[in-house]
Amino acid sequence: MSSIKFIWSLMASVFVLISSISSQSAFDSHLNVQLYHSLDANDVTGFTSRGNITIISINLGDIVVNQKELNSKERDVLKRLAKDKKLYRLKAEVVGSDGVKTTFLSSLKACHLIQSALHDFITINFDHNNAVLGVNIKAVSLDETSDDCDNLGLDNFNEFSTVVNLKNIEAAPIPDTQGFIQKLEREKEMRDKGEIDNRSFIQKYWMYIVPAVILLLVSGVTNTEGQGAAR
Amino acid sequence: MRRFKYSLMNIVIILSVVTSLCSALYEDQIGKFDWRKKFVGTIKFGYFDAQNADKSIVATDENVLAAISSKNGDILWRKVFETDNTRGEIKFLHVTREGKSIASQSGDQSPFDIITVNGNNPFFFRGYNMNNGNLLWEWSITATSQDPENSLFFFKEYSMYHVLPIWNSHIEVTEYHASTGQQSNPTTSSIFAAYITKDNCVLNGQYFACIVKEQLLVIDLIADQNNLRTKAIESPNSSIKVIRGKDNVIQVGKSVLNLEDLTVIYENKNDVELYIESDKIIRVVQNEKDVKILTENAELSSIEDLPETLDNNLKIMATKCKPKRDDTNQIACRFLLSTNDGAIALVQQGKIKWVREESLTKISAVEFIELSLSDAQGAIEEELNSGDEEHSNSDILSSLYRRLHSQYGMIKNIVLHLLGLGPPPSFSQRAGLVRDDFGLHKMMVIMTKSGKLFGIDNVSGKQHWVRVLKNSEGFSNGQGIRLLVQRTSKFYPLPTQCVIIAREKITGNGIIFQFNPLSGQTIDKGLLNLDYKIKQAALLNYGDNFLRPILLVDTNDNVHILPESSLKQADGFFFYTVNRQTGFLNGYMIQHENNKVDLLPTWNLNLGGTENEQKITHVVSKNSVERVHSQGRVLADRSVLYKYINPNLIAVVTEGPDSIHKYMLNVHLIDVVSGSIVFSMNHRRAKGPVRIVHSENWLVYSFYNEKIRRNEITSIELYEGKTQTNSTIWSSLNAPPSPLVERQTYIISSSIAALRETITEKGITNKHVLMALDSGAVVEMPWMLLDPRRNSMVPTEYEGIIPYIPELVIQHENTINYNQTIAKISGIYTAASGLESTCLVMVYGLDIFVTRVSPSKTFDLLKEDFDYFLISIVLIGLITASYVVKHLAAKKTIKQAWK
Repeated sequence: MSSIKFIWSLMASVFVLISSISSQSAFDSHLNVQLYHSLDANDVTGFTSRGNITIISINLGDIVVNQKELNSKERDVLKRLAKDKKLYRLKAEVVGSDGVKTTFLSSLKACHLIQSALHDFITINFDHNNAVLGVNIKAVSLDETSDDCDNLGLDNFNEFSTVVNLKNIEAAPIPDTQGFIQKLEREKEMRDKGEIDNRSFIQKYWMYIVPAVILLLVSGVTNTEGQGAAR
Repeated sequence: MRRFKYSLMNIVIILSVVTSLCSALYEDQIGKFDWRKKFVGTIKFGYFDAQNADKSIVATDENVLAAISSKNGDILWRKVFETDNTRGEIKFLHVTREGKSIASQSGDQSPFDIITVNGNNPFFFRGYNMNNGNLLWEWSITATSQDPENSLFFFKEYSMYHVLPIWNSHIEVTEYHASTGQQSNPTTSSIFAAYITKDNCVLNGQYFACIVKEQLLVIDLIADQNNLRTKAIESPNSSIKVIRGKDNVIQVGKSVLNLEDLTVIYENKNDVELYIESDKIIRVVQNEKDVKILTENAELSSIEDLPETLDNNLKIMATKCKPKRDDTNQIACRFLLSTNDGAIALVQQGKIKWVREESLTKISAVEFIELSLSDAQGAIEEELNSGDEEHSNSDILSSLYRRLHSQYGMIKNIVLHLLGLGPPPSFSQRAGLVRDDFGLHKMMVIMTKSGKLFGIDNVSGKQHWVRVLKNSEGFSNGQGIRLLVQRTSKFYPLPTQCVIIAREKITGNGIIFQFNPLSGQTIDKGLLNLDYKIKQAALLNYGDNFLRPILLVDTNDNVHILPESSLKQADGFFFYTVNRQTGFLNGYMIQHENNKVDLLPTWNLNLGGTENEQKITHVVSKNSVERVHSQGRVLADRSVLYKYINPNLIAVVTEGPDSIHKYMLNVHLIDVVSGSIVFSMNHRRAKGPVRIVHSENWLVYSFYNEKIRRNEITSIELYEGKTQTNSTIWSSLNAPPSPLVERQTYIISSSIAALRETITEKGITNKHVLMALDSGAVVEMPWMLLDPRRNSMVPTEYEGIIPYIPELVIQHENTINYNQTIAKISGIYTAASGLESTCLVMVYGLDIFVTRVSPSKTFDLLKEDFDYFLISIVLIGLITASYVVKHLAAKKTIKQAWK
């Protein structure tokens, strides 16, 4: 496998999550997201291609992810990045159905990316018109996230395993006046029909009467004692 | 039975909430914990009362008409018009000059002596009585011609004239009877004048003057014929302006002209400020330190050593002169002056009688600064501090020595004080600016938009110091002048230090001003003019000498740290920038390598939408000094729901039009370190004005629902869930799980002018949300009522959640400013006091109101009417009784033993 040759491999592990079914966006559209990453800490503006995400339908969450394999040189650079406690930065060029290109940037600690063995989440946020608000990358969090990256090997991992998460804007709640009125009506109905109590007065309020009687009795007893003492 | 129990429970809960909220004031407590100062705003038009000049009538840019006493500068009466300039803006003010009411001359029913014109089509004409400010008549007109906002007005002999210049075409003049609004002529007269242009024309009284090429054209708008006169002028590029004081004088270029006969009456060679008082020209000549007010041949008034607190750019708004009694030719005058920084001053006989600081109506930033320790407290602090520093080699003997030494010093001080030989008290002690036991006494440092800085006592309302930062203004992008606290008062004996970060008016470069907020004195070089434009400013964490270094990023993305020795501290600092117009948010990290700092862009977001239609209107972060005491919330099943407390979380509100729903309002919660959108929500057919408050794990905001035409308030609460990811350290870069979001919307009957949460020192006290209503009241709303978990889904009986009711009722007994209405509230500032129960509040707008609130009542303070006498009598009684009884009991046992 020569390093010049681009090997595109369809990732075996591609999950798609749609956090909220997009009942809001009335129309559907497709997107193409080109991914680039910056692995060299000394070259801030240099980004190399990582792969691309094609979103065939935003509403259905139909997604295809193609990502390049990392070659040994790139792996070494990435390891150095982690060792130096630098950030791994991802640039995403989003081209919508209208052909407008927007560039988004996101970053995470390179160390965390290696710890999670190149398993990452990419979240794409949409607004009410299905316009992209942002593209964010997160490493799949393991049980223990530490910043100690000196002794991590990356030799067994050369593919990114990415979970793409499409997140739509959520509809805000509106004051639930209808529900409240219905609740009041229900309560009124209940009061009107079901709650007419046929039990006798004693049956209804025995729990108040009994303590009162006991109290009376007790005080009566002490009173008679007192009188007795006085006599 | 169960139902009955439920409703009983609900009633108990509601009752307990309602009763616990009644934090009302007793009648004798009025003004004890609070004060209010009334203002009028920066003066636009001003006149003296013609009879004896004992008051001045002013109209201001805050849409206020007021009468100010000439004796002490108090407001005699004040009329506040609508904030909205289309209805409230004062376009014209006329005050009778003859000293007689207008109507008494014309034989009308109601005598009036003030006329105002407000608004922008419709125009409201109103007549007032000068003595009491009563409105006597009111009428309005709506101009149907094009560009009615260009309208001008003048008053002449019982008639109001509405002058509407249609640029490059003609002038429309309509005459109305002043008190009734009846048109004198059924038609509007049109004067053909194709040469009039916006920048070259002025109206003064009945004369409309224009510069056309090398001529001055003057149109008499009342004259029936021969209404146009011309006069040649030197240069066509001369400026034209009205000279205040008389209805017929203007200045063209440098010559001052009388419009009645077009004669040059004065050559204003140095282009100084002029005013006309009964045909005399009054000049204001300003030097470095003093200001002279002169007529052509005599000096009327000379203000020696003008206080530094006044901008020396004085303008005469009104004068009143009368001949001096002793000297026949001399006159004595009273001047009403206004300055560039918004102050109003009255000058008489070369002395400033009073100054009103009206720039306080436009507040840009506020901080409450804790006062410094008194000398005695400081000595104790010093003793403890020195023990800390030499911890390793401190032994019993040396600490005993220190103790004895400091106690000797205290005794010496007391003796010297008693003998009257002690050292003179320091500035802060003289002014009574010493920290009190409960930390309720603070210094309010107020930065105004005009670049004036104030140090005001929060207990008495006294201005301890005032400073003017010349040529400073707020930043573009809607950001005002910043006021940051670099070192608090905790680090005795180091002085407290604040910094102002502003923009130079002319060059746009940055300005830094470091000062001691307690005394107002400059620190180091004082005002520092930077040679770059500031893009972002922040404070780093405490560095050398417990001073927080300033981080500045200029527009070329260079990082500057002040002082430069703290360069290393900036490493790993994250910050973000927001572009309100495009909706772009950019996140950066600062890297420090090889003694150099540079920026690394880490993330960006685009909240602007597809066509950039969404504009960012609010960016709200949490209060940086806030502490969260309780990490979670106990649920009905005794499990804990942990709060999502992310210190890096900000809320961003965007508003914009929408093709389907007309208006859209989006709210995004963004982690600004990782750049991830934690949560976003969308309101359809909703628009601003949005008022928002973000604290702990919640967000509350109000907006206007266009669809149902009502105000609504939404609250959001974030929870991590039943387990806490990391209870010790929060890191946004460690990919914390996304939170559970509780949300609820309530209807609110009043529109809200400002929102703010209460804050206390340790965060143990309940949080209340302070709501300033448009009516001028400030209501304390308990968080319990705004709780988004108030819905039908959650079992309410154990958690103490109030059952959901769609409308949020404003309880008027929770109004913290009782009958002290605060006009035009623009903001609320809250600060923690030394008492956990008490939060200090400052409400500002046109007025300033300062008070304190205790959301969970004053649980750490004895009541004012606590009976110390009774409790000490009881205690002493009990102790003596126990001794006596003990004695008696002992006697008795002895007796028993002998039996």
